[in-house]
Amino acid sequence: MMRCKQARKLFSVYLDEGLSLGEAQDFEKHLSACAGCREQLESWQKAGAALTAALDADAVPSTSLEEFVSACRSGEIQPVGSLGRLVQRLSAPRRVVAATVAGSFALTFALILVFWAASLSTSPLDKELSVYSNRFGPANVLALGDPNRAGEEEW
Amino acid sequence: MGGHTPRDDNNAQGEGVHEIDELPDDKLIERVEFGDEQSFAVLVGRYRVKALHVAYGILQSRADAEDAVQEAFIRIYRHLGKFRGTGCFSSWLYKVVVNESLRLLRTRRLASTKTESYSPPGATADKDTEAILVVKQCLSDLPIKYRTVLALRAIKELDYAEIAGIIEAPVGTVRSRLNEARRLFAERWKELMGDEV
Repeated sequence: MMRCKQARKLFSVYLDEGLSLGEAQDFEKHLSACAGCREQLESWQKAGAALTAALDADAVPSTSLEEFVSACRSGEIQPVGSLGRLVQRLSAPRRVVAATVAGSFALTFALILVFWAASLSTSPLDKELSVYSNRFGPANVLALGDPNRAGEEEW
Repeated sequence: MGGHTPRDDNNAQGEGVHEIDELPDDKLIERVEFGDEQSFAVLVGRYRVKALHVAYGILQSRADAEDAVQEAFIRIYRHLGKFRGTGCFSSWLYKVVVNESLRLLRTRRLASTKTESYSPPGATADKDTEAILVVKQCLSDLPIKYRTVLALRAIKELDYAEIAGIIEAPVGTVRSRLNEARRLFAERWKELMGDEV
């Protein structure tokens, strides 16, 4: 036989119809024999009904749906899809700052990469020097364009 | 269980049931993501009153509860993209509502503003007003952890597992906390109602 202490731990689940069939049978058997538990359960039910009634009566919106949605919009709501998401990201000041900083870093990095790549690539003058170097050797190449050494070597 | 059952929800727009009203939450969310504001209005209409009940249960003030719910919907709208595929929309919404309500409660406490408190009914107070004041007093006398589970359960939509997900506690904790919340609430209610019970 279920005791009062055990039964009172099950009040809430019983009210929410969450007891198993066996538990519910034991619980109801106890209730039928215990006036104290019956009375307490009844007061829980009444208090619960009072709560529901108060919520239904007092916790009601004071604005229409349209007004509410419009108020949400005035709270800087932006569409979150596709282009809207980008707009939203850019609309918040913190995000603008973050985007600007990230963009600056990216641009600086890109410029560094471009200059570095340019320094690696072979310019037309380098190509020309390379051709001469292959044909005449480094000494002759050094003489190219040097008026003091002009004529020392015959091509 | 949580989630949407279209026919069960109130149509806050006061119109007949249209195709869009019948769409499940996840379809509406998809449409909102593509900028369909009407779908957002349907979602709001579907959950606004229940969200208000949850917030009211925690805050005991309709004005504060409305602020909390509005802030919650603003957040939901802004972060809708984060929700996709991560479970039940209503649970997520109620979680945001609880968080906003608790945040507002902290702010209100810091500002030291008092809520309306119960005082024995005067000659002018009608029975309904008195009943509401009693309930508000009973709720505000409860520790926050108890009134939160009581408010979440009062909307009769969430099961214990969903409440557990919202308050981030084990189901067993929800079960025992709800039992204790109802016991304390009923005792206080009986005390305040006196002979009228």
